[in-house]
Amino acid sequence: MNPLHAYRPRELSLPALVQAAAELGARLPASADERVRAEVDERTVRYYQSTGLVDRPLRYEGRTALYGYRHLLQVLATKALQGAGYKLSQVQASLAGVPTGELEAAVARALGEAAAPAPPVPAAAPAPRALVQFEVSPGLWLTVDPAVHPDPAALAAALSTHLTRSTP
Amino acid sequence: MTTLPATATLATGSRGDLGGLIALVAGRETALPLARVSVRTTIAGAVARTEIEQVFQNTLATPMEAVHIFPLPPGGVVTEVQLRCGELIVKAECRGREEAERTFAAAREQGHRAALLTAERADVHTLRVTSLPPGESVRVRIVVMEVLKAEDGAFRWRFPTVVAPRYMPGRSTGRTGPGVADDTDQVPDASRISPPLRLAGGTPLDLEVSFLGTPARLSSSLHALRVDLASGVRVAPNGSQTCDRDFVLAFAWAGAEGGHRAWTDGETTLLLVDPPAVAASPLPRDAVFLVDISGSMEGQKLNAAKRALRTALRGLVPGDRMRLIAFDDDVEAHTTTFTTFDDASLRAAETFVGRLRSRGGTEMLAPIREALAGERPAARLRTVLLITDGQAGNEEELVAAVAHRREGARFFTLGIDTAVNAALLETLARVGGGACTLCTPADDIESVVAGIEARFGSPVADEVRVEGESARPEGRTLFAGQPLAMLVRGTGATVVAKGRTAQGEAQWSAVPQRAPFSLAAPWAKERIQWLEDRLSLRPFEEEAIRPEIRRIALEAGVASRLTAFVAVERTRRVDGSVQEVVQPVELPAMWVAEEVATYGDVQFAMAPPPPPAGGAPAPMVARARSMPAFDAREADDAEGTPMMSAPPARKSRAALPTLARSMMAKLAGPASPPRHEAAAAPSIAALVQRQEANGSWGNDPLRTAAALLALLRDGHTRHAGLRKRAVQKAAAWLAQHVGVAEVAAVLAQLELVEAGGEYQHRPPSSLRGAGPEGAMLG
Repeated sequence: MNPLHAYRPRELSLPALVQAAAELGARLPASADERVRAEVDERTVRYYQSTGLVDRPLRYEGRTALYGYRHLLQVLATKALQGAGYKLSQVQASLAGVPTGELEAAVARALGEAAAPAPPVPAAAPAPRALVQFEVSPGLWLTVDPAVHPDPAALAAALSTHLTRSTP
Repeated sequence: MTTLPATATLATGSRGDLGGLIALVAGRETALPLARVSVRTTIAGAVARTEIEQVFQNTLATPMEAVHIFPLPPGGVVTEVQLRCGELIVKAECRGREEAERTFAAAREQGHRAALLTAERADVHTLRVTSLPPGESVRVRIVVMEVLKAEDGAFRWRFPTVVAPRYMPGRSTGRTGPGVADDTDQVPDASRISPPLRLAGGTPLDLEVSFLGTPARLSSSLHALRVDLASGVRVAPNGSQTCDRDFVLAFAWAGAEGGHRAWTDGETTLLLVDPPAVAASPLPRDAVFLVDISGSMEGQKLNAAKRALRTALRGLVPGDRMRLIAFDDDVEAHTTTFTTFDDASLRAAETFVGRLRSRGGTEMLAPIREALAGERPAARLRTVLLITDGQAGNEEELVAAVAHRREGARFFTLGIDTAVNAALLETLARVGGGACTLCTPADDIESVVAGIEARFGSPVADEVRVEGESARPEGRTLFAGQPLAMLVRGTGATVVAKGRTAQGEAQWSAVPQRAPFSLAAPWAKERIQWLEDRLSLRPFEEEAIRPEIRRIALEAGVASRLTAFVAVERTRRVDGSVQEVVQPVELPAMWVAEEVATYGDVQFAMAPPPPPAGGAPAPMVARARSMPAFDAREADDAEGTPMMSAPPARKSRAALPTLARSMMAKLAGPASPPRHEAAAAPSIAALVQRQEANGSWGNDPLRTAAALLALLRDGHTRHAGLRKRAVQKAAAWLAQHVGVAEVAAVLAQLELVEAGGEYQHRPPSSLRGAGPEGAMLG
């Protein structure tokens, strides 16, 4: 089961986001510099947020900021790329606005979920096609090719909503 | 949608690969929406018309909404916005802000391309461009009209290109805008004025100024200039630039030195009242110096601030009293009460200044209250000089504090930055009955302070009013060296202003020339600004004032906090949900990123991640981009804090490249120094540093006469040169010792030079042998 999926519908406080990022981050490919990945804390997330690496919170409950799935993916993607030797500025320039679906596919693959482990791909090589999986209803899985459907997450969400409505 | 148990356990062992992520990064050079900014300004008389074009691109595979939080000159006003999609040009309409926002949201909903320009503050604006199709770009053109500031014989056009990080005091209340700071109880719109910080690179800026007329004495303190005389006079920064600092252009019109001037478009008239050059006889001052030592001041800005402070302290005269207050998020007062200005207190103050180090956030409210607190003895004038970059978000609160606690005090501001918060500092001075001076860390601080000294005290005239329907109906204040721009409805053969000077009623008039631009928008801007100033003074009148602001803005078709521009292009529709991207902006030049981090975690989430244990490369890159504005004279400043006094760990930051220094030396050229300054500056600077508080050198008539002669020979008199104050004080002290023959001769020489004569004194050996001052005459 893809552990990312547990977070798709959830709202996370900052500590919860940090914890989730730390747990999932442990499954990212080993970095050349192990120390880079070791640190995901609240300061880091706030810093990412002040630079736009992580979107602004979904909403606030009183003074508590609530984050969502996209934020988790952004933290993991940033950490993973940093671990691979990319500068934060490169990540900032290229990941700005990347749709959640694409981000999810890439992060899932980095976690060893949607694609088989493979030796690191050289930066210049075209990305192998990655498929994304969603559990749209208990026991019902949907596999989407993001190259055909640019926002698989939205598609899955729509389908899931439809199923929930049409189920008596 | 399914919800998995929160405790979904992770399979251990197999790890994935980064191919997908790497493809995302490698696939595009930049996904940032703002591709470039071009600025074309035309200056005529005292008015600038600026066309700004911002180009947005969408490199994503989905439709994009780009958000750009950007600054405009606080005296400028947006009069026109166009959305340009290829050949198609859609002119934006000026509407009430809520209505414009609704129109824009509806366009987004329907997949139409649209642009929305809103004004968050006098300077900070937001531009949104929505439904930008994948792979396409659009241009937004913005027209801004502005009356230029004139100061010390030159016009200044200061065009900001980046909203600097501002400290947001208060407790978080959530977030309503697209920015990165939380709104707080003290800054309810913090999230609308806080763009994300760009980590590397910058948006290319293509800026060019053309003049209708012939400018003279062009200079720019933060950019090297390229001047093109092929068709008219056109000026541009030399080399490629990005949006990381203000463009500061100073010039004078050739053959138009001084005098009152006026321009008219046939319906509205602009009068520029040139202050008469009378030496005011100021009341003894209770002078408060407020200096900002927050983290954002770190580095060259704090050095410039200290230099300004030391120079300003030496501008006090016997009989004055002083207080020195440094602040960050804590108030550090040198003394709890006023101390009499004398030698001991001057030395103590200088030691205090030398020890100042930059630290935390910019909490300005408490020190402003402190500066305006306490007894106000009759026959003494309370003056406050605030030295800061102005980077705080709680502007309304600060303006209200000054407006309400002023009680006859004069509140002056000196802004030092590469991306100064001009709106705040100008407003504080306006409501505080003082004057605002803006400079950059690369300016000649001593001449800047010399200009302030002329204004620092009583104004030249008060209750200045122009005949007719003035944009700012209340009486205005005229300070030495700062011509007053007054906009009035109507036109006539002459335009007349009246005011009250120390000598009684005065009247100034000028014959208007034809203005090449409409002055209706500048008039509306000035009126709106006046209403907003009034609102900060009388918040209980909000219900009357806000509709009035809205009415004037809609009538003139200009952006304000209550009006906005919206343009919708309805010929095409894009499908798919729109991805919002907020454009990250650069850290201003000369800012030290690590110090901005000390703004704190919550209010200003600038803190870099804690350094990894083994010392992986720090993510912030701003340090390497520090600007080469090294003030070479700082090192020669006998008692000044040396430039390299930073703690050892920061040494590398202070050590600027030699190339950068030589570049700076070239840049510093334009501010024409007094005669012999180049060679004599270090010793003259050291000489002035040795002057006692009473104006003498060592209480010795011969040494003092020798020092005065050295100053005189270097081009300084009581009325000219950077060292006016030093000469005035020395001459006043010497006047008590005219019995000494050498003293009488030197004073006679001073009067001769001041009357236009040539310096021709041959100092007798008794003067040449008088201490270190005499040695300078050799």
